[in-house]
Formats: sequence, structure tokens, C-alpha cells
Amino acid sequence: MAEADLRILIAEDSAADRLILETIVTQAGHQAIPVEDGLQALRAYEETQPDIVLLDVLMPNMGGLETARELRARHANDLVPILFLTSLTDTDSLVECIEAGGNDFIPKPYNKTVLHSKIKAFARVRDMHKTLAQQKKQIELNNLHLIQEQTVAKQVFDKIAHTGCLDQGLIRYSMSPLAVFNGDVLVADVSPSGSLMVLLGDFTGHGLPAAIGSMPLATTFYGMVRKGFGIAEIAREINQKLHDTLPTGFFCCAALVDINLQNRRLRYWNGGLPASYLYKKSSDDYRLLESQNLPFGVLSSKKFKSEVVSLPIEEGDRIYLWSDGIFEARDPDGVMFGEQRLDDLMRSFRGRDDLMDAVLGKVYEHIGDGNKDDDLSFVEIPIHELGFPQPHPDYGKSVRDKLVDWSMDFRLEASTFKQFDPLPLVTGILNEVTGLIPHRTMLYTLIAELYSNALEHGILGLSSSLKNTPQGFVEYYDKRKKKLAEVGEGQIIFSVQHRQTSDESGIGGELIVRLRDSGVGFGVSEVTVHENDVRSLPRPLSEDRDSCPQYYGRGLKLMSASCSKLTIRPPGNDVEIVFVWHESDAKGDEDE
Amino acid sequence: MSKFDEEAIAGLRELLGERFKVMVRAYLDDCTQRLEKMKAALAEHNLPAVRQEAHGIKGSCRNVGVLVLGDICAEIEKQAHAGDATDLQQKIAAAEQEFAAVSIKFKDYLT
Repeated sequence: MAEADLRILIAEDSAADRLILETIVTQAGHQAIPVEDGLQALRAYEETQPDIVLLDVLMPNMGGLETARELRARHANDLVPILFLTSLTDTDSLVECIEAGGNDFIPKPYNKTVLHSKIKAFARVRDMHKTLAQQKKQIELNNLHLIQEQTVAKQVFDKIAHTGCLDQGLIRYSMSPLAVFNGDVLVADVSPSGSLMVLLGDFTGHGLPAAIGSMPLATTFYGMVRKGFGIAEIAREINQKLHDTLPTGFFCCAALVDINLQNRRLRYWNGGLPASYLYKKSSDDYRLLESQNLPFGVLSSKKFKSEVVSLPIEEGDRIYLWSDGIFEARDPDGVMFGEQRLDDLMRSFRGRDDLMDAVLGKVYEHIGDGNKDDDLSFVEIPIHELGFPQPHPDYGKSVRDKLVDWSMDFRLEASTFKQFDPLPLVTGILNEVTGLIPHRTMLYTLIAELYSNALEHGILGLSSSLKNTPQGFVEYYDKRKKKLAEVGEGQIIFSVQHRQTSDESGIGGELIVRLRDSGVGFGVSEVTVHENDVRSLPRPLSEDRDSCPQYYGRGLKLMSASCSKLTIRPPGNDVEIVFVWHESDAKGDEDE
Repeated sequence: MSKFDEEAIAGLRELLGERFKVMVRAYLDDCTQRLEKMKAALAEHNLPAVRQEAHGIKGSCRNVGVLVLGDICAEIEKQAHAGDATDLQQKIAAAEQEFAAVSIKFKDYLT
């Protein structure tokens, strides 16, 4: 029984009274600890850790009031009930007892029944205090444990998040942690085609739930970017992962950006994040990139729309992303910073290098001593003429068996190329050839060029000159989408062959990639261009420049500069490149 | 009014059993000592000490069913607390007299 077997300290100077109390207490099944005054009581308290203390008020050496005060001062957290033994009845004396730390009184003369009931009642109070204290301790432990777990989660996540190019100065960002692990996620990396890919996400909630969601998001992002997937595929995959694994009501607002400097184009997807601002240097104005989609994790894969916007970009443009924490930041009176104030700042500092510092400065000034109730994330991506450096030079160099001599034919029917991007698959296979790994960016670009020619010009008959103006750029991608949806039949055939060679200076190899499409071609006679032999580039046969494919521009120059041999067979729908590598030239390429 | 609460005394005998005698001896010793201390304190005009001893005797008496002595001590306690020493000497003498009577009755319990 909970009330039985308590240790009860009895401080009473009268021997007769002490004996009576002791007997009553012992007969009720408790353990009595009798002492004669306050000093003895303090000593006995330390030695026996009693459950209840009975104190006579008037005692020699140290009285009951002083003893009670001393006990409360020394053991503030003990919450042991103190009952005063008293025949005093005046209000002042009773008040004094309570103020000294007493919980109740036991009146003299002692009554067995009253004493038993009071002990029972205060044993219950004592139990409750004990339970509370234990629970408080448990909560403190749990909290500590939770913070430790979140710290571990954050360390793991930081390792994943910072494997990309976040810290290479390509983008400027500020993230403020609200919890140990904040609800906002920023990841960035450079794809094999040289595109800078950035994702800013804002999870519902903070701490561990956000950390759990961030892991699959970051790993999926990095895994797919490195394999060359586009943001539409990445968005679809992340959505599926979060939708399948996270509980209902848990989602992630996000914006995905893909910047390709070579093609001067931006691809953008926004699901639930505030509109991103695209600063156009030419017009010294912003274009707002609004959310057109639902956040990650809301829709099933079937219903998810990965509609990506394509826009031209130029040097000097800037892209700004943020989560709602920026304009929802509250001052000490609870007033939000507001979208209007943010927009005003964005406009008055437009095009300036100190914009980000100005915005963050104003937001923090607004918050003052108030609590930050959301994460403050702000990202700026300046568009420079320079390309993006390739990260992870050692990526893919795992020690295992590789492809050596092999060939394959890969034939895509219309039903496939209408909706499937084969480039990650093909470049994935090329990554299995050790000697090609240092050249994978170049190869990805070459094969992407070949494939987009076959698809966009060969099959769809689009004109690349459209892309010369910003309006045409948009029109080009609109047409591409429309025509792709309409296409009924056709084939694109990849024929890839690799042979390894070796000479006295080491190992090398030759890769042949040939792309044929079922289009009508563009009426050229057979053309063969050898390395860097730009003078012999074919002139267009047709007078209509609009019908000329990209080969007559940068694409062909690029290919002839990078390949040992380029062959275009008539009527122009059959193009072959030969790429030769040697282990001795790998080092030079790595540094590029 | 009866000098003793016989019911309370019977209750204590039942409660304490063999130890009732121990309690009676302790009570008598305690009262003897306290009465001496009280007289000495009054001689030194130390009224707080008078009050404390009177309070102690009063409490013990009421616990063991000794009513009249308890009441006399309650009066002494009250008066000492109020700082009034006028007839304290007489009252303490009365307490001593009453205690003699109590002793006679209680010593019977010890045999």
C-alpha cells in the first residue's frame, strides 16, 4: 500500500508526547524517527530522508518554525510535507507556521484517528509530488535526448546537403535555424551538362519531422542531378518519395531552379513557395515566378504535375528565392514584416549587390527582440559569364568492374521519346567506362546536342533560330511541347560502341556515338569534319536559314572541337561522332 | 469539573499497553523539570522562558488527560506571553500544588 511504511520524523521535546506520537505512528505501520528538538531534527532529516515531518512549534535549541524554514531552504526540491504539532490556536501563530513552510497542523491533544488521516492525506500529496518530480525529470531527459537526436540528424543532413556546390560561392544564401534542425532546406549542385541546379524547400514544422523529410529530399536531389536528370524528373521523384513515406498533412513547399549558361536558359518549377524574383538586367525590372503547383508530398504520383517553365537568361540577371518566413517575420507586437515591405525593398535595391544584406538587415531590425516564429531563408543566384565549376572530381571512381569493349543499339519509338528522356540512361552507361569519366561533362553535352537535334529538328521539325529572341525562346518551347504531344510515329536510334586500346604510354579508347532519326533531314551531302577543322564546316544548302539545324551554329563548332571526327550522312538525319581518349589526357581535363 | 479526563487516560493505556508506564514516568519527570525551570525563570523575570515551560506542561497535560493542571498552565502561558507578571508566583505555586495531586494519582499507575 502506498500510504504504509513511511518514514515519519517526529520532533517533540516532551518525552511523554513523543512516546504517544511514536506509538500512534508505529501502530499505523510506519517507521517513527523520534527526536527532541529542531537541531536533532535537521540532522535526522539528512540521515533518514523522511517522507513526512512532524514538528512541535515550541522546542528548546531550535523551535519548529526555524526548523521548517531551514528544511525548506536546504531542500527546496524535496517537497516533503511538514505538519506542525500545536495547541496554538490564534490566527497569527497558524499563519506563521504556514509561512515558515508548514503544510498543515495536528492539534493537541493528539487524536489517533485525526493523526492517521492526516498522514494518509499527506502521503498522497507526497506521492503526487514524487510522481511530478519523476515526470519532470523524465521530460527533461526526453528533451535532452530529442535535442541530441536532432543534432545527429542535422550533422547527417549537413553532410548530405553540403556535398553539393552550396559552399562554392555560386549562390549567396542565408538560413536561420529556428529549431536545432530548421524547416527550410537548401541544396545545390552542378549537373553533368554544366547546369546549376538549386532547390529551396520549406517543410511544414521544424525539428525532427522536417529532418526526416529533408533526408530523402536531399539524397534524391543530389543523386538525380549527378546522373543528369532535369528538374521535372527530380520534382516528380521527390514528390513521390515524400508522398509515399511522409504522414498526411506533412508536406514541403519548394522551388527548383536549373540554370544553363551555355544555352542561356533558366528552367523553373515552383510548388507552394512564394514567387521567386527574376531580375532582368536588360529591362532593369523583375519577372515574378509564381507557384503553379502544389507542394511536394501532397499529390500522388499520378496527379502530380511537373510543369516546368523555360526562360532565357543573360549575364547580369539575378534570381532571388525565399520562404514565407521572410515576410511572416513578426515584431515584438506580432506585426508581420509583410510582402509589400519586402517587394518595396526588392524594387528599391534592384540590381544591387547589397540587396540581400539590406533585406535581411530590415527583417532582423523588424523582428527586434521578438521571437522568430519561422525560418528565415533567402537565396540569391547571380548570373555570371563564367561557367559553373564541376564538383566532385572523384565522383563515380568507385573501385569496381567496368565496361571495356562493347556496343549497343538503343531504338526509341515515338511512344517512348514523347515522354521519356533517355539521356541519363545513356550517359549512365558511359559512366561505366573508367576512361570516359573525366570527360563526362563534355560527352553529356555532345550527346544532348545530338539527341536534341534528332528530336527537335529531325522529328519535330523545329527551327533553332526561334531561340534568338526572348519571345521566340518561349515560343520554341511551347511549340516543342505541342508538337511532341502530337507526334504519332517515328524512331530515334542510338548506336554506341566503345573499344579500349593500349600503347606504350598507357590505356586509351575510342567511343563512337551515332544517332539516326526517322525525320527527313535537311538535305546535305555527306560531310566529314576532323578535329578543329572548322573551315570545312558545311554551309547550308537551303536558302531558308530558319530550316537549318543547330549544327550550323555553336553546336557543330562544339562537336568538331571536341571530337576526333564528325560525320553527317545525307539527307542529314544520321550523325556520328568519334571521341578518342587516353589516360594521359585525363589530368588536364579534370582541371577545367 | 473533573480534574482528569478518564476516558483519554483509558485510551492511552489501551494505545500504549506496556509502554503506558514509561509514558507516565516520562510525563512526571518532564513536568517536575519544567516546573523547576519555570520557577527559576520567573525569579530571573524571564517571561518568555516562563511562557515556553508553561506551554510545554500544558501540552503534555492535555495529551495525557490532566485537565486542571493543563488549564492553570494555559493561564500562566497566556499571562507570560502578555508580559504580565502580577500574580504569576501564586499561579505557579497553584500549579505545583495541582501537580502534587496529579503525581499521587499517576504514581498508582506505576505499581
